[in-house]
Amino acid sequence: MSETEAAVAPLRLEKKKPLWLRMWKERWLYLFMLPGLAYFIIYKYVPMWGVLMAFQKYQPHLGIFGSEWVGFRHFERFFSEPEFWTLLRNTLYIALLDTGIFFPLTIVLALMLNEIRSELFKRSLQTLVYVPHFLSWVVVVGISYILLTTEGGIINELLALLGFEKVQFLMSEFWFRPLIILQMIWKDAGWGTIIFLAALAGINPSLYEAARIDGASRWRLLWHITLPGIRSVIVILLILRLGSFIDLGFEQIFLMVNALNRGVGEVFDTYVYYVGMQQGQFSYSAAVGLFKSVVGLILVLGANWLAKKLGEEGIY
Amino acid sequence: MKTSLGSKLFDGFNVTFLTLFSLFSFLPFLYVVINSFSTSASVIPTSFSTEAYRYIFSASTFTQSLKVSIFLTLVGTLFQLIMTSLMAYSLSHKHLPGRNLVILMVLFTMLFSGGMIPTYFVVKATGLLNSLAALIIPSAISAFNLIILKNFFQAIPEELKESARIDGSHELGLLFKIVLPLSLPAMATFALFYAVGIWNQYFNAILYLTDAAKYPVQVILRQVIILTTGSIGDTSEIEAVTYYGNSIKMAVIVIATVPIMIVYPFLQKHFAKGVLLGSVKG
Amino acid sequence: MLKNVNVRSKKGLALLLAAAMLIVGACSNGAGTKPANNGPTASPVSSNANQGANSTEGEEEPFPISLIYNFDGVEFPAPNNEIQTYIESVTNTKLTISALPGSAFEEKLPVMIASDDMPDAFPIPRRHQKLPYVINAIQSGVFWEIGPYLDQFPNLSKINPVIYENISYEGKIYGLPRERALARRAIQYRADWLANLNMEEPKTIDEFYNMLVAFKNNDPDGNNKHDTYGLSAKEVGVWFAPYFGAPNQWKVEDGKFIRDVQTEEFLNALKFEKKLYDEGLMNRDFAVVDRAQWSGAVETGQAGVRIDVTGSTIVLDTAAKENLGEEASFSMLSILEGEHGKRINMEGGHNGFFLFPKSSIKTEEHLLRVLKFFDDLAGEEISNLFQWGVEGVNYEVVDGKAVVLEVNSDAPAIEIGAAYAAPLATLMAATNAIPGEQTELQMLEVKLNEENVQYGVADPTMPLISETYLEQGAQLETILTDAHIKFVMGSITEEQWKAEVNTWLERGGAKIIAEYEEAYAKVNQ
Repeated sequence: MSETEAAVAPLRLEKKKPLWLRMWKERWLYLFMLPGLAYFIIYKYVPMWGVLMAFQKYQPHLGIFGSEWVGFRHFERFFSEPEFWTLLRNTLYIALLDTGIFFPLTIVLALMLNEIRSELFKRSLQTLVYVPHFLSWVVVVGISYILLTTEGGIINELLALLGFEKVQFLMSEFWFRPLIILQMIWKDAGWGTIIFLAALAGINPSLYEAARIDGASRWRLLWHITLPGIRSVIVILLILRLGSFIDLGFEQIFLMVNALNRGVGEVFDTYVYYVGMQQGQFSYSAAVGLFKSVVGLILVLGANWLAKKLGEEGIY
Repeated sequence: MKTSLGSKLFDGFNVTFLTLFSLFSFLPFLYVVINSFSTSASVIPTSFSTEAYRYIFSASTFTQSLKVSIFLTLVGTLFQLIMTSLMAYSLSHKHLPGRNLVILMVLFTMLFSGGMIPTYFVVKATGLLNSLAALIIPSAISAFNLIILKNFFQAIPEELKESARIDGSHELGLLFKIVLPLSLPAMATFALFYAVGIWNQYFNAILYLTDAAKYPVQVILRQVIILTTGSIGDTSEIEAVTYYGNSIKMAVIVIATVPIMIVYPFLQKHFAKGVLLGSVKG
Repeated sequence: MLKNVNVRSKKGLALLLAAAMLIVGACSNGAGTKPANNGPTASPVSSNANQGANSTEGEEEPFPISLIYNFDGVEFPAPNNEIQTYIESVTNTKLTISALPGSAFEEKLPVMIASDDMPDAFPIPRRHQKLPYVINAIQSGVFWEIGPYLDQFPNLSKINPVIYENISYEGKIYGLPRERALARRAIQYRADWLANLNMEEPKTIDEFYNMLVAFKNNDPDGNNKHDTYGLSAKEVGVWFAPYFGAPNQWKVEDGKFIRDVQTEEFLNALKFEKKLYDEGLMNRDFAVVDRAQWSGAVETGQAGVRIDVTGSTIVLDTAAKENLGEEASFSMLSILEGEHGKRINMEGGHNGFFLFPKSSIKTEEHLLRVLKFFDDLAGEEISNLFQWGVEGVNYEVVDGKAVVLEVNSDAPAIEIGAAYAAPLATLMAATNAIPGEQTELQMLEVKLNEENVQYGVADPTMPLISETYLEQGAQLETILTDAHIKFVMGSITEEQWKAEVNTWLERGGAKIIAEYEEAYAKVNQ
């Protein structure tokens, strides 16, 4: 409690001073901020005019000033695509699996790792589970193929050996989503624990000691000390993730999609690749990108607002 | 007694599960390693050979690119970490006028981007084309890392900073003497994130660099993978040689990932250090 | 041939570099049509002394030329290496070359055009020929039209006019093509299996089918196990269509455009593939198999047939011998005769083409000088380099014929093939290079590439532009390719397949047809 009071008290005092005086007092903090601010302005905001491409028929040799303006034409085309609703449904489905299964799983995995008592064993496990992050999707999908193909794939051979029928894992609408989420978990769940492990390391050990003296069980420690200790990190990660909620990354899905699972597999990102990038349609790609950005912005601001309502810190 | 039994059961389950999971995670990489030493294209290797490694290390391009990547990762991580912590530290002060505006501005860049061509113009205008700095400066701060690091800084008890201020400590001293040491686990994490980010950089390298001697290892890795899998734009132009190509591809993956993989075990000890410091000061 | 150019490889591992260098068809065609003059030139390594003698014209200063092109190898060419110095001395130029990773080249092109950082010449990949950014830039006069100047250059005008036509825009020639064989599809099969079964090379579709059946059922490898199958397949709908009489993508009848899927012949070809699938004569995972596994199946003796291009059979043969022993051998054929006679699909006949930006080439004289550089590259000296490598290191001349030498590992570490020959040669190097000793498969490759052209079926839309295709082509093609795969696998019926073709028509196919007809009428007025 004393923490919050300390933070709030000087705030009230300084409200009375004029703005420039308060700013002058913090001149060092502004100086620290300056290089970063310059970076964001130069390398992120100056190129922001590229967003305008979405309203043009952009031609590289003409540039942004010479290209023809077409208003909302690209957006109209995008929203009136016969596939639009399928794409939206597929994208949301996988995005929900990502946020609803993959993300909580990284937390659970981090907590489980945290419960390992032998420091050496814990570190070894951590190192092993984060290794797959470094293999590219091409390799991961290649390994999946070796495991799952009907032509001598290990799992299908095993099924056949046990007297079951072979399953077309790679060419089935039913198996597509489970495979995608399993690949995500396999590749990145270990990597995802790192940030939580850092947060767990920051919890004050004296809190545990005090609770143990009070005779608290392991579950109570977990519930009343560990989880609250990393809650703010969980919340902020969740909010930031929502910003890229419908950004599924194109590579994995692109490599997994084929004629027989396209009905559930095609998402915004693969669509943009086929229609925009491969066909050199810069403006159309930019328009779909802008749509995704706006959705992300709404989700982030909404989630941040909700978090604050619920008494969390949020992003700012 | 009951809790103790449950606790033991949990430990048993926990250890078993995590051991299986980590084996499950590691086996495919092991497969890659084994195949890099094998000349046969089958799942189960039949022969042992270091030919692939000898070939790769005899290619001067590859060793050169490995040097570039190590240099870039060391210098770049340090630079990006300093830039990020300076800004994160100032943004962690909730009373700072204009703070929310800046945070919103940063957040906005996570969602909206001008795209490849306009960014190329800026990199060109700032004179970074064909220089290694083009792989570090245009991605100096990750908005994601910045916002999370800011939150880690915010979690440091205010009274610690306050007491240091009363002792007459300067803001810079405060950052380096109190805030950073207390945030070691976070710093180690973001050092890792930045290092991996720089190490894996591929697209910026081919976009901004024209001098082959400056290419980082990922460019060469991609080149080898694409040549051996034949997934280049014009597939019929280049014939994939799966026979030796496979072991070379695997060897390149091993060489290009192991240096960055071993960073983590070294950083891990700082996770424990943070706890220690926390307990002393807290 | 070209793969022998690789100077640094050791036995066995030469294969990877070979991959980088195997320019399918580059060591082919015109090998027989070359001029008789083959005075061996000095080794490039020692040629600094006669630089002046080598320069083809009386120019005093080496002319500076900047180039950016795709590099599909691993060992990037170092600046001022011996090979480049030799090329410079022969062409009397000073080259500034950026060899960009082939994997990234395509993505960088639009950025290059947007920022106007264009060199004197750079290639447009074949896949980008009809992308809007290229078409629009050409139409608004960013690049020189080179058609009117070509007859001044003896070597450049040797390139087949069909290829120039294929890359023309509204009848005008802007690009200098990197020539490749026009029709190079090949059915690659295990010759030793065929011999074991006492069978002849198939000439017709029925004979081909019988071969696949025998490869599956009659134990072609003689190990008394039922462990082989016929065809290792990766895609469907394109391979057998010409043998059944279907058009090459499109055909024109009285000015009307008809897409292959609208013909009965195409459906027959698809039904043939369905039969192969249903009877287990090809792999059931063809829709998801990756390139490595697809080739792996034939290299390791599981499958006996693969369909690819004429130039890759040699690599397949080498790989199979490494895997299975010397008795494994591959041969190939290009045409299966059906009731419509001998037919084979023709491609563009090029692997991209060079464009010459007006922003870097300001005058006509400048353009002519740059074109002369490419013409010189196609001359005998550089053609020999591109075709055979460095004389005295990679080959020696015996009786006017090139004889390939055992690779010397101390030789300069330059990949001539990937770094220079593949991206820079326009006229095929074999045309003007001296003849040389060839293996059986290499001779077969040359023979097939030559023969095929007379039976070649062209795609009439090659030089035409359809706006709808530019915008939605990729999407629309997916409708068709997906339908083919589903039909072959039996997940949709013939009626459903026809309904998919109708969907294609409704979603834009009909518009594409109309636009091609209009463009065709305009060119053929």
